[in-house]
Amino acid sequence: MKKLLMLLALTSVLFSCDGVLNSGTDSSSSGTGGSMARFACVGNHLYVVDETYLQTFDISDSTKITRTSRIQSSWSNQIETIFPTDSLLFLGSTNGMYIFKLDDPAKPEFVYLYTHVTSCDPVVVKGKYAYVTLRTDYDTWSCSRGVDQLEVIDLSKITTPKNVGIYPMVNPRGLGIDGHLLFLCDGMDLVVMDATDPLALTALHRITLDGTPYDVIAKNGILSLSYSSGLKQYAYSNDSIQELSTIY
Amino acid sequence: MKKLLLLFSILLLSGSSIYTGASYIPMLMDRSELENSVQLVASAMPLQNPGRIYLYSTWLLVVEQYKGIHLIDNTDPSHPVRKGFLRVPGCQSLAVGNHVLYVDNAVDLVGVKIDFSTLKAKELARNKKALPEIVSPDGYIPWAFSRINRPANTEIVGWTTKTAAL
Repeated sequence: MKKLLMLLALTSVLFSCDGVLNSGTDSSSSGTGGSMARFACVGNHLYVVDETYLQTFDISDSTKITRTSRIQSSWSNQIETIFPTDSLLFLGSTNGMYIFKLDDPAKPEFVYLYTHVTSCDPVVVKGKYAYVTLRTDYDTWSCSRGVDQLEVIDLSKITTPKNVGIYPMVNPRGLGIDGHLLFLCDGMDLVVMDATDPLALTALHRITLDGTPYDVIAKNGILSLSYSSGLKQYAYSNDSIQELSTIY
Repeated sequence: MKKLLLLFSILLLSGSSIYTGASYIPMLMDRSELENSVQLVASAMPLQNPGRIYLYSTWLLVVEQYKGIHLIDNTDPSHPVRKGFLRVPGCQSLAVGNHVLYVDNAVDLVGVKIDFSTLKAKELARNKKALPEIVSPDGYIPWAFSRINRPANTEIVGWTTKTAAL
């Protein structure tokens, strides 16, 4: 019994010690990911982000997945999402947006870290502008001190990106852009904004859902949206949006 | 005595949440089982905890957190049809490259070829332990469930709340 008590005491001490551990491209052979993606395929390479690393895998031979690069972020900066273009990778992280270039697709090369206050943030890129949502998340320690907003970033010079707009949001998550329409998951709502002028976005619609939206893909006039209750799809054209289906 | 031990371990488990704030316990799977776990079920499953989405041709692929991927025929977005479910324990993300689906099967990165017309799947490649362990929704792995403290050759394939587990 004494031994058991000692074990109990010892284990309690040990238990109390934890807590310190702490889309882009499209072609017929790949597909389109949402803005919350952590995997992205560009040509013969698969890019994977996790909290700590950006990893690159060669997938030219379908029977092998061969790592060609592994880049570590700083311990205090958790990588959240990846958005690829043909020549660049944009990573959303808790401290900002990383830009990597793919001159050698097997070894992404760091270009710039656009920093902001600590938040969680997916990113989408259209033309020479990036749209980033910053979100507070009180369940996650790393995001609990952030802000809730949409930022527009001018990427004309990728070595010196420039903030050209800030729009307050409720609690934004995934986002997507097609043509001049920008779609955002915000709290319990789907928000549609007109991005004809990236320097002056205007809100068009705010649709409240029966759950919390998470990820969106906007492509060819169809918006697909995952949310806590299931999957919704909408058709959009010009400035109107119409619900097509919901499955649970 | 056995009962006493059980009582103590329950006390310890619940006690740990008081000390650490940890409120989740891991779902574990033997490595040998994990390596044979990716399977296509050719029947629809309800969307319970939908996560990331991916568009591939006329198919919408929707992650079911920790469990796998819904294969949804989206030829007509007004009438999407759940056709099957790719069971992938520990799944959180996916992407398609060169017509192969890449997915996280817990810490393993797996390439799967899916024949969408016959709804059959074949695992083509597996890079073992290419990815970090799945952290709990609290953002870390409690020390009690770290590799050295849990049964040998097990991988974390998800997390569940203590009340649900007990």
